[in-house]
Amino acid sequence: MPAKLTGRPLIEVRQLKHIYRSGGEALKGIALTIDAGEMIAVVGRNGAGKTTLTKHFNGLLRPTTGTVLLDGQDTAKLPVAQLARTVGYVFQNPDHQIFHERLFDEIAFGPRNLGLRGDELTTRVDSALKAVDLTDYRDRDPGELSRGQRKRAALASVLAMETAVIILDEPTSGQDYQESEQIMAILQELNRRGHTIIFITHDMELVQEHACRVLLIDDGKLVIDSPPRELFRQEQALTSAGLRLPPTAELEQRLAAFGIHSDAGTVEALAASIARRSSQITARDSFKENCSGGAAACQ
Amino acid sequence: MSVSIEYIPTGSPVHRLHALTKLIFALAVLTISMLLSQPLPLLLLFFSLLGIAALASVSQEILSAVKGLLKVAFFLALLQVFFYPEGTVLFAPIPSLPGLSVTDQGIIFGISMALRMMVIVTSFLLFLTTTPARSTVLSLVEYLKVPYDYAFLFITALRFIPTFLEEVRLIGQAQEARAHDFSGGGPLARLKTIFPLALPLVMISLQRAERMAMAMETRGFGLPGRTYYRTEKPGAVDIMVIVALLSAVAAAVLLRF
Ligand SMILES: Nc1ncnc2c1ncn2[C@@H]1O[C@H](COP(=O)(O)OP(=O)(O)OP(=O)(O)O)[C@@H](O)[C@H]1O
Ligand SMILES: [Mg+2]
Repeated sequence: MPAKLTGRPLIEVRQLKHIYRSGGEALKGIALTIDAGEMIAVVGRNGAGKTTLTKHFNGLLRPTTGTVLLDGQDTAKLPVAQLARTVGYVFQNPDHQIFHERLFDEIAFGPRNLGLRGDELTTRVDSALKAVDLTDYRDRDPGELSRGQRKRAALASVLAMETAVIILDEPTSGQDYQESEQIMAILQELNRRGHTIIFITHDMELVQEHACRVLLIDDGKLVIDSPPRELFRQEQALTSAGLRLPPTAELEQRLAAFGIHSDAGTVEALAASIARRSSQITARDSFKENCSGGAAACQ
Repeated sequence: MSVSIEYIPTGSPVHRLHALTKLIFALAVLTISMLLSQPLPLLLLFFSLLGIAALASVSQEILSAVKGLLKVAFFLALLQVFFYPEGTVLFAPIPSLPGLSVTDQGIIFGISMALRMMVIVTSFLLFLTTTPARSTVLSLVEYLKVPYDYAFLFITALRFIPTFLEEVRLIGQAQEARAHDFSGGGPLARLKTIFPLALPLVMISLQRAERMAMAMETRGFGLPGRTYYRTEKPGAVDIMVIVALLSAVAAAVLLRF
């Protein structure tokens, strides 16, 4: 990716403010940079400005003041259709984009707009369909799909464009556990292959498991920009932004008060450290009973 | 273009008028603007509407709508100017097509037409931004004896225009994000680029209508013997304003004929 070679960030946001014409100031001065190959979660309460921020990355929204550079170029000066070659955006509601009578054509819409035809197009579409597990529905009407499936269809239609950056607005909302895991696995795989992934979510467990960096947005401001583990140490900031620690992180913190330390963030690691600790306690207690004349003598 | 035609509660004296008064106002302005045929009186009428908007503290919304309307008005005026047959010919862009000539009366007619359109739309915008939908329904049903279902239908349709525009914006963005170019090519190509916008819009609107019908039925919409929790009566100021409006309409009719 050229951004890596030149050493400049892929996305650079400078003093970004956005004021909606029929509303208030949705972004109040945001600065950040994103490098190629990052996997970033954007979190924050409803109305915080997450969608507004990410829509600036591909020019769907233009800054009221400030600049957004994509690979060094000012997004305000380029048409969205051109920015779409680099940045794909999966909307929250799949019904805002689905309009073909055949799923294949729906997925092929983006790549066709990029000028792909023939075998290359077919290959792209089929592999995108396969990635989201919708191959069986290839020639069916997308209207017949369930909402979860339509959501994955929308994802596939952006995957097929193979853009360097993929932004997803709440990709797992309305998906069951298995579907969510599947979607996140796809994103992780894309990230491993060098794509920059930016996803908005309300699910802190997803953040914990899948993101390398979190942007916490509150009231139009970037409050925290850090790896998930560091964010979870700032419980105060999280709560005041209307969010809650994921259960394992919370449990880790409560257990730390009892001298049980673990920071792997997984249920397995926690269980292991609790087990280790309790076997220590049992061992010590039996030691006390045997050698010091019972528990009462210790106090 | 973002046009807000939702109720904006600023609590101004205009807001405190009865819904019926403001509805009569909008209809009176409509009637008067139909009776006026010269640009100057229409322009005066238009500026007085802007004055009322200022009084109601909704100037910002009305002005941004007016800005959007200007384009439409310009187009409308142009059309009239070129196709109005009567009057002294000032100049003919295509000599072989006498129907396309510009006449002095055509210009006046075109400008009046555009102004009239602006006046009518602005007066209804004023009504909508200063009157809550519920009050409108109530006054339609209570005073004008409109069946509740129709009043509800009317107001729901109006209520959904902003949502509809928002939907249009989001769908447009979603397709643009997939590298769709809405501005492409000649008129035929341009028409084709609309499909990715129009089709999802229709689907979403149908879904919404279905959901809403279900939500209404489960809450007992359509049961006989509807009662109202709150009723509003026109006050003395309302009666005065209504009388003034009716006299203005009468005056306009007398002047015209
Ligand atoms: N088209 C619009 N016009 C006016 N105001 C808007 C518009 N879109 C969003 N806003 C406002 O901007 C603010 C930020 O909205 P945004 O959609 O970016 O929040 P979000 O963090 O994505 O929230 P959610 O979690 O609910 O999706 C909100 O106060 C919202 O009401
Ligand atoms: Mg959002």
